[in-house]
Amino acid sequence: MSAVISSELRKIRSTRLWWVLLWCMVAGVAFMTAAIGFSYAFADEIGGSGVEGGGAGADPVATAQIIYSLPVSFGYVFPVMVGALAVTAEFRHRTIDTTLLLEPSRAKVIGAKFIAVIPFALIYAIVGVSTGVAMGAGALMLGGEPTGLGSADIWRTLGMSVVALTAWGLVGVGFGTALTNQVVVIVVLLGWTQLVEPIVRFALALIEPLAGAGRFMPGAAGEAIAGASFYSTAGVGDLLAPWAGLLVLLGYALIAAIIGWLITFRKDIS
Amino acid sequence: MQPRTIEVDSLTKRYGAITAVDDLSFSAQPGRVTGFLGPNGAGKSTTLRILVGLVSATSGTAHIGGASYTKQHRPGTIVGAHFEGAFHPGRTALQHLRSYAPLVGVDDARCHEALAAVGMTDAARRRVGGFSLGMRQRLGLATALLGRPDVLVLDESANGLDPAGIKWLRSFLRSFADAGGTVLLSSHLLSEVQQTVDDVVIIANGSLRHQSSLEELRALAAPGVMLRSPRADALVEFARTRFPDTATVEGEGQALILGTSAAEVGAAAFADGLEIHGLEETGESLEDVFLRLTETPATTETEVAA
Repeated sequence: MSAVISSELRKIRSTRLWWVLLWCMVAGVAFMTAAIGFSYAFADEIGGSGVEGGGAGADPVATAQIIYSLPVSFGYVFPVMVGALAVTAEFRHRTIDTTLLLEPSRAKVIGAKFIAVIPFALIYAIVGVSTGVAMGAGALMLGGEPTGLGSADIWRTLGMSVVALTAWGLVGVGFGTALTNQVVVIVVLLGWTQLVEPIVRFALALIEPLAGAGRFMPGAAGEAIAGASFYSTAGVGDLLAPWAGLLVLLGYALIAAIIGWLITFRKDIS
Repeated sequence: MQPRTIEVDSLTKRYGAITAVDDLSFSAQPGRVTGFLGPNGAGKSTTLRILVGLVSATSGTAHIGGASYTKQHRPGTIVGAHFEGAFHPGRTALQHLRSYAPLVGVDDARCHEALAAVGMTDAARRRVGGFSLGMRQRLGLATALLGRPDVLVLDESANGLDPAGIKWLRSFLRSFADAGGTVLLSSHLLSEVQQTVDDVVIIANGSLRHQSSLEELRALAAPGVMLRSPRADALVEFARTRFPDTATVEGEGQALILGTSAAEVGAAAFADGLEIHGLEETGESLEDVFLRLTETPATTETEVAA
């Protein structure tokens, strides 16, 4: 098994994509945290609260927590992509032929991809969360607000954000295995996480009997791990407990991978 | 090198109503380069993919050295295979090989060795995306060689090679076979590999049409005589009376007569007083034989009957 994992690690490391995506993540997270951080920090000057329910009048630690969890709310698409591409690139460039020639056990190959993506997703998570802290704390300081970095709650949020973003890398591997087409995976995951899920969560929050269902959506589960959410603070439903969120998210990864193993990987590779 | 025979026995692969491989049996021997030939869509790639476990057979077996590919421990150290495409354009030649090295249990030194074996040392740090088809074929071969296999299974490896490349591939596969290795090389063009292979397996519509040594295939070429005369009318008359069934007039003053020799035709022409300006033994080329063997529509008829 270690040979397969080592092979998978080399595959990811030898393409430029993983660090191009990493820089995209840094830029994206920096922009989002700075923009929203400033809107909180300077809410008084701007006139009114930046986001409903937040604002300078709210608990400063809670405000900081929301800002520091932004890398999870908006940045998870990057570890997802690196995870998905670890599978889909093999099908796109037909390297899956050689991979399965040299390791005929398809379950082993999928398992090795899950494990090999973890260190890369962890780098994404640490870099993304650090970027969020740097920009968010900077914005709060400039606005004369407390950064909250003295609070244990905040550090727990940061630690759990790293866990959440790493878990998203595994979701990417799962979806890549199930869908195998690079373009389809990107369209489905981007479309779902950035467009459909926010709308669905918002809609579900308005329908009384389904109000709790939004918590089980992948994006909500990821935010639950960090224990804070831009959307839930904005009044779009509650979150699960952090451990439950992690389980739900890993559940999505596992279910997608099993579907992929049953549908795609057991099929003929021709 | 350990001698290992490739044995395909009653292999069938159906995709729904389509039969891609139809009760196919053949073998490839160690020490020989076997050409696996057939037109596009004949079922060559499907057969090779079944042989190495990428595609499952509907029925029948495909064994290498007495066992199926996927049952072998570290199959890449026994069989080196390569299929068309299979490269990430962003990786360099060396990175490509290093990605697979752990799976056959070899180190970086062996990656460099494999590149040197195919004459690509200078291209080690260049990205595959910028490679010509010929370079990709070489890198594919280096990938197959990585685990020091006894058997090579190569899908269209001569495709797109220039004459120098074909010559290089020929001498490379020759020395691999001479060392006791087994080579199975597929191609849709006999001319591309006819100077490379010792044996031929010819398939069409998924079933075997011919298996023999290349010499025996050559012997199947029907002999013939090309006859030229300045007196076109007399030539047509001569052909019609002397060789009514086997002669075809090939243009003004030229006729091809099959199944005979220059001596026979010359004697007949002399007896008839026909002035001749050209008399040469020709007949079917190897390519013609290949076409004749693969074009037979017999299979389609039996399928309809069945």
